[in-house]
Amino acid sequence: MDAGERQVQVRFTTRLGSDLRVEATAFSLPVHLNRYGLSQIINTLLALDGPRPFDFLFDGELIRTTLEQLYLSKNLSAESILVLEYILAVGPPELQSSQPEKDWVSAVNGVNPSLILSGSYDSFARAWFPDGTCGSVLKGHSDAITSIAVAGSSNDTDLDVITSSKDKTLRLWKVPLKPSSSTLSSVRIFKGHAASVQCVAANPSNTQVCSGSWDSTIKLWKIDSEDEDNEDEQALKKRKLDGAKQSIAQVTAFTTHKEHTQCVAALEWPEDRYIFSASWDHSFRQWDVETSINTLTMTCSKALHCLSVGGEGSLLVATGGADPVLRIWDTRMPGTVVPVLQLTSHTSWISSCKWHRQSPKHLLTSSYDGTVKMWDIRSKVPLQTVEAHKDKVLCTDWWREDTVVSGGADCEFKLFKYTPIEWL
Amino acid sequence: MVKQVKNAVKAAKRKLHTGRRGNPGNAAKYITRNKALNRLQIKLPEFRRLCILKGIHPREPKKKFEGQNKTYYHVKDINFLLHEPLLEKSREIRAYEKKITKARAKYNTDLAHRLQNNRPSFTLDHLVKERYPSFIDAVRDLEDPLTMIHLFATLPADTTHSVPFERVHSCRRLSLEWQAYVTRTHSLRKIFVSVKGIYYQVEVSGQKITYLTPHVLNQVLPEDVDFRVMLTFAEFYETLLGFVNFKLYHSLGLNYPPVLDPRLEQAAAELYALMKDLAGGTTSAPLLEDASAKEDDAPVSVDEQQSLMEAENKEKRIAESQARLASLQDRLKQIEKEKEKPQDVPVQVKTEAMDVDDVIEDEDLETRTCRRLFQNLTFFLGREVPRESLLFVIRSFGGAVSWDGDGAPFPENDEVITHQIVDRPTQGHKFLSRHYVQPQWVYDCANNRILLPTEPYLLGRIPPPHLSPFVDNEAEGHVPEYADTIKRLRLAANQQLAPLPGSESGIDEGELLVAAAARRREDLEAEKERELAAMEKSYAEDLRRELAGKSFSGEEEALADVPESEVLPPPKEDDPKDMAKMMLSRNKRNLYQAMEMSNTKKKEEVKLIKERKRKADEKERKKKTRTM
Repeated sequence: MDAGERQVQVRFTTRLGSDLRVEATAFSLPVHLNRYGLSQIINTLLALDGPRPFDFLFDGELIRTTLEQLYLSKNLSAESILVLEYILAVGPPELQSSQPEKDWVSAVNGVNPSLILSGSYDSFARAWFPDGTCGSVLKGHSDAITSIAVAGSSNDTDLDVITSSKDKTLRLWKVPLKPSSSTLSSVRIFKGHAASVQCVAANPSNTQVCSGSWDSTIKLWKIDSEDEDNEDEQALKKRKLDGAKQSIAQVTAFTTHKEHTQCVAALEWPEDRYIFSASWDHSFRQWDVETSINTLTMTCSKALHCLSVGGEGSLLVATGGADPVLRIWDTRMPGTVVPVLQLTSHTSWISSCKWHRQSPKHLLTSSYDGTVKMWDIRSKVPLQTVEAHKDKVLCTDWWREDTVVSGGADCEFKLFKYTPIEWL
Repeated sequence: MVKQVKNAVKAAKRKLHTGRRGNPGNAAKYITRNKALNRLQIKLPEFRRLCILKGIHPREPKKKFEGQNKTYYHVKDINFLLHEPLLEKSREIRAYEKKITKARAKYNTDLAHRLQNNRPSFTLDHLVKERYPSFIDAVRDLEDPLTMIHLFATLPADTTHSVPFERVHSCRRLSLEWQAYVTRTHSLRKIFVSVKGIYYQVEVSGQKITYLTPHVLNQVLPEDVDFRVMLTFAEFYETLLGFVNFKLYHSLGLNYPPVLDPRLEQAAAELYALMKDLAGGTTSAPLLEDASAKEDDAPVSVDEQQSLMEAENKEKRIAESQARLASLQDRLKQIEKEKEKPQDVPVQVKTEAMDVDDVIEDEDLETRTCRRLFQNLTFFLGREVPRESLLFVIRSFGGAVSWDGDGAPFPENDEVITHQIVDRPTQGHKFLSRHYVQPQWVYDCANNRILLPTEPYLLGRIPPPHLSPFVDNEAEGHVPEYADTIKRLRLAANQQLAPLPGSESGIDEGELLVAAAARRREDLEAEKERELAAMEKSYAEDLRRELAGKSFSGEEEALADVPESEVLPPPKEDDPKDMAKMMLSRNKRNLYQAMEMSNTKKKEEVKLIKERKRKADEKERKKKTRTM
């Protein structure tokens, strides 16, 4: 490094363990250093064996430029000491397994740590086990699966899974948790939508399910009710006629929300009290479950395809839709009309987005450009980009903290594992 | 032996030098003007006139054998003039003039009067036939004639410059007939309004004709222009355009000359008068009815009425004789036709401006788009806008139009009006149902074949730049910003984006404008995005390198090395281009250099334009920040 270059004072702090902590004295460093250079310095200071990449935070933002640019952009005095916090950087993910399916993979769910669920356009849903083997095949829908939700389990042996389909129905399945290959048939069928069902979500206490459809309604269903009393005589008569065939119980919705004017594309039920829904009518809404009132409506400039609730205190809503921009909205600010954050790195429409279940800072998005990106909301550029599929990526989800599952229009179902990261 | 051969060679050379066997020399090929005058036995003005009419022009011989300051002509051309019947005719006329003066000198007023009335006249018809053997030749050569005729149509008849009023009148009539034809066939393609005048491009019989018309202003006749020459040209062009118009009208099955609506003519809306005639006149019968309909609604001077009656009678006579000759079947058909007429004539009169949306046979795609551009729009022209030009353009592109003044087909407060063309800072009373746009909107729409959003052209705003349709932006190397916007709008309009279910039908202009604005904003943001993408890339790359165990400082050095080696100029080689240039002949080299020069000039111009644009943008930004 030439002597003529300017130097700045930098002090490092961290919340990592004591073995990764450096002295709290100020170092004089050249201004051309970027994250890589700083990481190298920490590595030398700690005298680590292998290279451990670190990421640096200043003022709650990840550093993605050189120190000089940072000083200029933040209007800092060259004399002031820069205090940088360092954390472990997220390494690129490794492909764990790739499974071919018969048709487009349109839905994945990784809520349960012992198995992954995937739904395909060939009308079957499948349960996959960590070793990459296909467990149960959920057979019963007559058209493509659009979404899968997990509604907990009544016992330790099996899991309640609800699938929505283009055949206008939802079905409830009991999927065994133990690795075994079998063909399952549904336990219950939810009928009532007038058009294909696009999304489904279960409430945290696993008693109710909501579903959004192309008929632009949201319907709420009780999982355990077998509402024969609701059915009129005609239906009863019909059921008697083909009684032998109709062995599975039918459920009808107890509430319907009709405020959306277009297809309801995504639903999330973060707490028992309220539901979030996103629609092609450019808006996403919050609904109070008890009173069935639309408590919040936010309007975006584009049709929305996906929605995820997370962040600090589960109050940030990430939405993606018919443009390559991921928008993050803060529901605590009433009357907000603009998103608090707009993340642009995708080159095509966003098909799904998911907050990490533990970390309030990490997000996953998949796009029609064939990539899956992981974001840290403290930075405007994504942490990691994976060229996951050769065609559109239709769905993605987290599984077990550090693994990502994705399905795409190239009929593949893939698992990616990130190098161990400490979520902070 | 050797001596013999040498002598033979010398002889051969001499022979070659005298050129008896080879081509005739310059002296035999060319003739000076004075000599030509002597040979033709006419005066210089007469000679000039004849040359213009016959299309003969002076030549530049390689060797000017009689001096540098002489004008030379081809001997062949002069011999050609020698046989011209006009020459004989002009002599005849001169002799006749002498007779008149003689009679006057003898106070033989009777004879003088008689002679005066029976002067020999001449026409230029045979010249048109001679110079343009086929119709397409004449159409191809129509640019100058149209420009000249349109110019004379706006000139004042002036005795000091000897511009006779008959000439101005006939030019006016011819130009209107031409415009009426263009309007009817929807063959107007491009318009550009410049300081010089208005450029129009018309496609007739597959030929693109570009001509310039002056702005309708009070023309001042300049002193340094030789009006005699201009008038001679105008005279010939008048004959030519008369023939062309005749042929064009007949190709449509229309009568020529068309009958003008006298009332409208008086109201100085001649083009409309002509078009009104043509609109109803595919066959002669509706024309007749039109004429009779006109008769009763306006006070017409006696002789006009007479001429009208005459025309009518003639038509009737022809129709009668035809009917008599026709077979029974034909007669039946005619009866049927006549039965239908009363129903569709009023419709025609009412909507004579609106084109019926039927597919006209052998109509090309462009004509159809032109015909349908303003199809469902109705315009109203304010007093302050150039009526004739706008009338011409709007009607050519299929719109219906009215104006503020006498003879207007519908008044200003008509509800059907969708666009009012105004060119004033403010408008008193505004109808909410219509757009108040500046005239430039019409021209820009017509040039781009789409309905542009009206917002930037609204009353009192500074409209976007009026871009010339005659400039090829790609070839010029610079695409103005507005041209880009228009291109996008055009693409959007052509794709006919499928509207989202539930939204209003189609794309409306506002939406398009918003989209265009958003795109412009996106352009500004594009740089930022690129920066982000670069950051993302470098971050991913760095991480990959770090995990691979490469040191940062080492990388830095490696990176630092690269540019230095690149900075060094590549070893000088013999440029094949230079070599090739050296091999060219001097003429070709000069040509090549000229090409290069013009290319660099063009590039510099583009650079200058971009620089100006940048500065203007900067200024605007500064102003904006100051106001904020």
